[in-house]
Amino acid sequence: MNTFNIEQLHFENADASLENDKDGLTLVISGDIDMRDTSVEFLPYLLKVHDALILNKIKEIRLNLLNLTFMNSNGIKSVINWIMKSSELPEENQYKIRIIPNTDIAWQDSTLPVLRKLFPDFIIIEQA
Amino acid sequence: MDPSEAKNKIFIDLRFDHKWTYISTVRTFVENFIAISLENKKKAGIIAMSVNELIENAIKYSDKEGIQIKIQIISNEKNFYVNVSNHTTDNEEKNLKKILSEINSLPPLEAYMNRMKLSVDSLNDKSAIGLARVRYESRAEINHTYDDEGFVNVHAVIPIDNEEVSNEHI
Repeated sequence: MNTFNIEQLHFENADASLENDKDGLTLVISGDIDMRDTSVEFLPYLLKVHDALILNKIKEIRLNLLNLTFMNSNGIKSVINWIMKSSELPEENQYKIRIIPNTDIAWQDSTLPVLRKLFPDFIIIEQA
Repeated sequence: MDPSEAKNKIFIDLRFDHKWTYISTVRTFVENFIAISLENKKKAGIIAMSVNELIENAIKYSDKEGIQIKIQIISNEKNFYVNVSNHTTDNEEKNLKKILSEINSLPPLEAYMNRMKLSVDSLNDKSAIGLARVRYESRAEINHTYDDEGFVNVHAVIPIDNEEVSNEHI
């Protein structure tokens, strides 16, 4: 659990949880994001996290993808929607997403750098 | 490619009803099956991702219940040849033709980024980001055919030996 009372979510083949740890706030997503409509559960969860970050004036969140083995293009679309929400805020309210990737997982190795290129001011990818 | 001419290392032929719940099982099977004979395990993941995206599209754009989705994967020394077939409408086929033309007219990275941007404005799950993703991540050449009976076949030719996508230019 976390200080924002956002509960862990299990949806189809994936899990998402928001955790306070020694490095700050971390959103952990694991499993396979492969549902047909990610706007039903996955995107609303991301936007709930977004609202908590804004409300608490948090400037950076870690996104732990170490055990996220698959994400379909609908999932990528939801992540883009989430990042867009931050990018559309006034500068003083914006936050960065520091991604902790698993570069042994092929899709992460190829798609995460593209997200960073698309949102260079909002995405940081930690080096392994 | 004429399959009979290839020195096939891998041959997969699957048919199933267009149910979304089958996709993850097919993806996992394809990845595990290909990984047996492919030294580059990440490449198996990329091919499985490509198959996943193409099947998702086939199911999204199928217009008839009870019509099978067919996938065929063949490899030779150089390439994987992935074919995914589904029944669709003339309008959907025209739309696919237009999208593929747009995607294929751009460098893979640019096309993928364009589709990412466009996906935010897409009101439904038909943003076509998956095709651009397959082309970029697997370095595939993608085209399609459409027959008189309303079956669309999407073909992806995925090179084996180009390793993963190079991010040097990103």
